[in-house]
Amino acid sequence: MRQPPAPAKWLLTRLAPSTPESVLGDLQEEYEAGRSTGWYCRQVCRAIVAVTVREITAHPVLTVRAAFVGWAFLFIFFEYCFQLLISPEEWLFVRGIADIRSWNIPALSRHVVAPLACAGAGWIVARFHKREMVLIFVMTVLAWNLMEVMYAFRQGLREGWLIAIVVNFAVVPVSILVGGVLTARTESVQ
Amino acid sequence: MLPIPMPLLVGLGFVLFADVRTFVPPPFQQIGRSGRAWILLAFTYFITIIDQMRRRDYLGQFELMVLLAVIRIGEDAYGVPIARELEAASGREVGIGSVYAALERLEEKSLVSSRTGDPTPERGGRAKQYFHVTSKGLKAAREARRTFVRLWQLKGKTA
Repeated sequence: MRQPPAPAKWLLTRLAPSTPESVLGDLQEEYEAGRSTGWYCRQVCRAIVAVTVREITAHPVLTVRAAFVGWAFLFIFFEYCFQLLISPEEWLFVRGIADIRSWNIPALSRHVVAPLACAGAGWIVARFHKREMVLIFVMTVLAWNLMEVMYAFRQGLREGWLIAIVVNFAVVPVSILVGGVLTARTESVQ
Repeated sequence: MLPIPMPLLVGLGFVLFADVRTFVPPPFQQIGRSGRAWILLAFTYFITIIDQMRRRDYLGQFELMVLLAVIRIGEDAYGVPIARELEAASGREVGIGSVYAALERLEEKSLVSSRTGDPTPERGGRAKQYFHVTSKGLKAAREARRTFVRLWQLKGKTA
């Protein structure tokens, strides 16, 4: 028996768990009948988009809420927690709580904390809404990042432009998606 | 009009009237209150469009194609033969997920009905979902055909 590509199948069941079981069966049947791996992957992408669009049209208010909750989490985290995690002594000093800058406290790297925060936002969106909403949230984040990067270029960004592009258009969306697909809640495939 | 829940209104009101310069990144700091009002209006319009898409009762082009394929195939109409029929007719690759999304919308409009078949090993133990056109669906297809023919004749007169 010919098995379809496992990553594509996994992505479909994790990112669009509302996909009807008959769709998975039809894809398997066609793959078994001799369709190519490329065809299967294209069909998976189309199915994810179709299921996501169906979920948006079926639950528009929930979609907006999902995006709002994701953004609220990111805002609260980066506004109030990020600095505390990557530089606690600086955070305490700026707020006049204590001057312990000489203690040399081991701090977390921003390159670890920021993707984890994005993954957390994706997890929260998927956990408390529908997992398909993570894609919508990622789209809003990408749109926002695009505007920010364009603005930075207009302001004369010359150094670190490649890092800005990689972080905004690869690290951030992938981290959110990873957080979303790793949600523990098991939504049964219909 | 779409009923917008109170938390959403409060959130949007905050975005509209609060001093956003404290937390909004530079590209948006220049947007004044009228700009934010326009953004709010566009956002509300976007939600209304989605709501109208959900409630529409007319047949879209793809829905009509799927409905005609179901009529043509008859008793054995499920995702694979429907997709193959559409591919043969249009000459383009058709997404099986899109076919099922259209079938779900047709079923919501009571234009088709579905039943679950037996699981088969070549489908990984998954059951087929067979679709059958209802009398309302047949009527809708005939009505669409009449409309197309009338419009086509009108086009012929003007051309």
